[in-house]
Amino acid sequence: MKPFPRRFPALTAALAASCTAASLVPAETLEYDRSRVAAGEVWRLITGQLVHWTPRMAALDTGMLLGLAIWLEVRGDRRLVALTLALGGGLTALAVHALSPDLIAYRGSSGLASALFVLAAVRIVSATDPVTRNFAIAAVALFLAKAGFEFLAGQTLFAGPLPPGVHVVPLVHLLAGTGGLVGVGRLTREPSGLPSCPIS
Amino acid sequence: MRNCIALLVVSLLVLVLTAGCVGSMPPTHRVNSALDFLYPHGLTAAAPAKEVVLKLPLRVGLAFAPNRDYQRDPITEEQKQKLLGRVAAAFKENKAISHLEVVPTIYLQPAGGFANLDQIRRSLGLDLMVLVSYDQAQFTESTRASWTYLTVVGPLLIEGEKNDTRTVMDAVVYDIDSQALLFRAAGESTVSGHSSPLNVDRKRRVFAAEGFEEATKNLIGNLNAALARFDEQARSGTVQGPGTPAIAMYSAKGERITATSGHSGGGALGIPELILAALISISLLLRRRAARA
Repeated sequence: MKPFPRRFPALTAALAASCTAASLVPAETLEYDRSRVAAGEVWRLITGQLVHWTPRMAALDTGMLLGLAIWLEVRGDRRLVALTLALGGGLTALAVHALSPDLIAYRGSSGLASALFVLAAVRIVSATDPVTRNFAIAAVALFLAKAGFEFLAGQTLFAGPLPPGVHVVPLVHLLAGTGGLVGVGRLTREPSGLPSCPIS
Repeated sequence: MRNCIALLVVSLLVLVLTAGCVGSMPPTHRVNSALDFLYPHGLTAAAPAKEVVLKLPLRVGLAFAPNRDYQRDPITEEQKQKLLGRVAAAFKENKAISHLEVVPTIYLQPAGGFANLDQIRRSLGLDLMVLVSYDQAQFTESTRASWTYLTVVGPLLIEGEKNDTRTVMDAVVYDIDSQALLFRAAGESTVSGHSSPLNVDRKRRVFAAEGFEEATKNLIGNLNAALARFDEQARSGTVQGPGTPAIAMYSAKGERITATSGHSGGGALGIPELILAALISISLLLRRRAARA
């Protein structure tokens, strides 16, 4: 079986550098703040997704984000990763600014991580092995179902601790996660980049 | 020969007496109360709280309530400041709080009351005060290993005393201007350990400090929850529901904060998402191993 070519994850490295730089400045200067965005500081729609409320939140969100990005980029999906990140970031900004009018501040990269999670699962679905494919389909379905339930029911499931007055925004996971479905369009046109040797 | 026998008898007597001196120590119980400090003449003499007006963000002070009659605390002032520093650090990200100040206990006079709090408010520019009280009991009992105290090295080497330290810390948050209790929370801990007769005092001090550390951790979690409940309750217009003082909260821009006002959000992944990602990774790994085999 011929191994697929591995690429240096330059895009992930740039993303990691951005997250590191964001952690070095006071989070208040980068977080999404509705009144400041309305006053013209529109960059906060994006930079708010690079800062976090707690170290635990930062570790989980950026860990998942960078881990998925490395895996996808090493397998040759750099353009898809870039597209998905752009979609995920844009849909997160939409969910926060336009679709959650009672939100006055926001921090967190889980929208980007959700988009890459769905993309990774979609890429795995193209595998010939039915067990792995079913695992991936189930994972995406469970992920979107959880986010959907949280959005409709107005309560979160097993969310980690956040500072008082800060609540998880399930709509971000739901909407940004659909950004990962952009990978579906590529399934029929290109190989997944995964080893495609059938298990005999 | 007679001298040897006499010496042996005297030594045995001394050993028995020493073993008899060592045994269970009386339990100690140390309490201080924020209510004693705030209402030195009793709660019935207290004036009713006025309407509460909070202008966010708030400046909050934290202090241990002073003991009446200058009783000795089980922990030092430095340890108290560290514990309060940990509580302050847990709330520094809260947008409703602009400043958290740990107030040294010497600023508070025993039975100082709200007049004392008012002095502190004017000096440090505080809006709210968090007063921490504690109740700590320590029990020390001999165990079966204590028979070794009859030997010379027993008291030196064998830790035959069992210690239990039970600590409860209670934090009450007051609006100084209106003298209204906004909310409260408690934290507790139990620390168990052993000591020898020779180091029992030192060990009890160590366990006392540990008890406060563990109780502080518990207190921080409960304070977070109490603050979240208070935030929701206060938006509806009263401190703790019907029959309690009315409360009005205003943002930095002077806008009234109500139940329909905005909140902060976080995009935070949790353990379920992590588990899903782990399951996919495991299935990929298994698939790759099967392909290689």
